[in-house]
Amino acid sequence: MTDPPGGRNGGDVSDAELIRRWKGGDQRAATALVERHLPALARFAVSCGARDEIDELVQDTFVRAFNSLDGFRGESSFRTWLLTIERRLLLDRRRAEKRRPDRVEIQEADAATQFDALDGMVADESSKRMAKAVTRLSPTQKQVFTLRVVEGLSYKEIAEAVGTTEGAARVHYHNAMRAVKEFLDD
Amino acid sequence: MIDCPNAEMRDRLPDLTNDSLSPDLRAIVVAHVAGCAECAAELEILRLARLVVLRGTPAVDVAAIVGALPRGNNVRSISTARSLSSWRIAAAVTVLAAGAGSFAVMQNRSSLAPRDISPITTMVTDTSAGLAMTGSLADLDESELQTLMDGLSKIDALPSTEVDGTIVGVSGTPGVVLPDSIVRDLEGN
Repeated sequence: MTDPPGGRNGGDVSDAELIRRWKGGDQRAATALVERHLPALARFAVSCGARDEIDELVQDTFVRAFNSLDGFRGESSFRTWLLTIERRLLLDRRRAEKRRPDRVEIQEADAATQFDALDGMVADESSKRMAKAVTRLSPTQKQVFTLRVVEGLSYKEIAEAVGTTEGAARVHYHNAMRAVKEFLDD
Repeated sequence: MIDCPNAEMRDRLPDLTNDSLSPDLRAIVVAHVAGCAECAAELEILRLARLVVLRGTPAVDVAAIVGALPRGNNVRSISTARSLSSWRIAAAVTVLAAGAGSFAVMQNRSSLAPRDISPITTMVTDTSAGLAMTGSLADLDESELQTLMDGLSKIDALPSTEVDGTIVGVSGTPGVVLPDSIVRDLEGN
């Protein structure tokens, strides 16, 4: 099981050790784990178009994960496992929303809302164009691109997180990269 | 924009951006980028994309999340609970099936005489005990099985296969031999 670099809390302590300490009753270990992995979960939530529900989604992810730690076998990294849980929770939410016809119009406006929010947070023109380029990617391309470029996950880890194959993850990344380049060249 | 034909180097560029390459590999990639305009341009795109995404992600309250988490030494994980429950039910069915098999064997041994079963027969049809065994095991629903399991969970070990218990008469099926300890649990003692 590979671990990301240590955060402010936890230092060089591995995820496995923090999990062991938490199981022993050390709640500071839970804080260290949350601080270490929360930013990645938040970024992935945004890449999945869940900016408006990010607090609830990230919290649900951690609660589900900590209640299921006995099921974490360490075959993948802890972060990859968290991302997988988050994606499945988001899929469940989307399925539930589809059963509510009154929410359809809100969902259709999500793409523009996401772009406006991201665009509003960057100042210079090049950053704005990059933000727009990323927002225009397909959902899967956006997720793969974010996980590869920002989180530094391998294609194998990305495949597990987004529910695809390693080869498909590689193709999605390069297609996303090509789309971004073409938009910036225009 | 033209892509560098060296796919392996292009694949390493995100790792260079995330500073996750080994020192030796980093030196190789950096040397390549220094001499490849396409990779240098792509690296700039990756760095800008990373910056934009990092800056564009809202902050989430860590304390609120930690406050919602279970305590480590109080967690009974869902998967473990379900696993234990499934094993318990499987163990109960096995015990009862073994008992039924034992009884079937006993029927061929004329020297064996069942004890008085009337109190037990009365007990097992008494639904107030939470277990209405008015049919075969297959007729029991999940809640009835769970009630049976709750009683079995209190015993320390599985009963032996010797006939030293009470023969339970269940209407419609051959009597099942249950150890006295289980009978006492079912009776609520």
